[in-house]
Amino acid sequence: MRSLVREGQAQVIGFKTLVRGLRVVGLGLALITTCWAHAASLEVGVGVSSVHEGRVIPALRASYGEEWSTSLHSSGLRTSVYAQNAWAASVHRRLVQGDLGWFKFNFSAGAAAALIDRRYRTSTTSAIQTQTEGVLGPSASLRWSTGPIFLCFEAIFGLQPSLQHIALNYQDVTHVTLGVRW
Amino acid sequence: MVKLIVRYSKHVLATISLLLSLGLGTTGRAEAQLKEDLFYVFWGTGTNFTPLANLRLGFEPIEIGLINSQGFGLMWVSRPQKNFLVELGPILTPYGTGIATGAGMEWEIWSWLYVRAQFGVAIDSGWRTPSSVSVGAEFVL
Repeated sequence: MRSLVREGQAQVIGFKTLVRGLRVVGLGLALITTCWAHAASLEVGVGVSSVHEGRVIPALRASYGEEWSTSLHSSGLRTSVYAQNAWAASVHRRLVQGDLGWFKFNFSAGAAAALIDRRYRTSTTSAIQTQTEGVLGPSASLRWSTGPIFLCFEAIFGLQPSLQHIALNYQDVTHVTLGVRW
Repeated sequence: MVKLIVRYSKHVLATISLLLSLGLGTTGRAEAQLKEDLFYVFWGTGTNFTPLANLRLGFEPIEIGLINSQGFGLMWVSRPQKNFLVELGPILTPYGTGIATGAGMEWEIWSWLYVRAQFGVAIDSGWRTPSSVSVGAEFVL
């Protein structure tokens, strides 16, 4: 892994990862546009993901649809010894919409999947170790908007073969995105 | 550029939080409010059945108290359709300030008791984005 910035920095954003993410989002949107020929809205935004909890790692999110919507999400970082990328896709159906003060809200629910890829090595010369994790489960999103600006909160509640779900314990992946809607 | 974004991002978050609060402050009793009970206490569990994830005093359309184990906050609640609720508001968390939001459903069991299930997500100035699922009861006062 070639570092784009100085070694030793705690937070480094992989530009190539960002470009790769943009390609994935672009390809996804092209497919979605082909599938749905009827009028619908397109949303594009940047935000943060719980995959990179507590760190300011920019994430890209694009969503297309109206009553039914499909969203794609991409985020990642890379240092000289560590990299972490995450991609997610969700399909939601709008359940409720309305107004609260200056804002319109839109509550949707459906299903989503996420793929988290981690790569690390103990030094810049040692072998890279890889760990991949998949998350699949029900998902919900809540979008607040005023004019073309929106703030979207989305959560994936990943299911595992575990009885802990009875205690409302899931493998949560959360995305918060600020963006523009057309 | 990235450093600039990182440096000012907390201020942007705080500004958004303030604007949200100002906008919601003008809400009053929205026409969409379907619930007629003015005062109630909402007690609900969170992840791992945390017993005090939610303990809020509700006076339509505002709830104040513990929000989804994420912090202490003031939430504006809208009930746009029968059984559905949506909420948004500023919270204080161990990491600073933030915005919490949630949506779910509630069902009337008796005139003094409602069952409520909802999901909640927040973002705070520590860039944490906790989420939770809550199940609880509303006791009408």
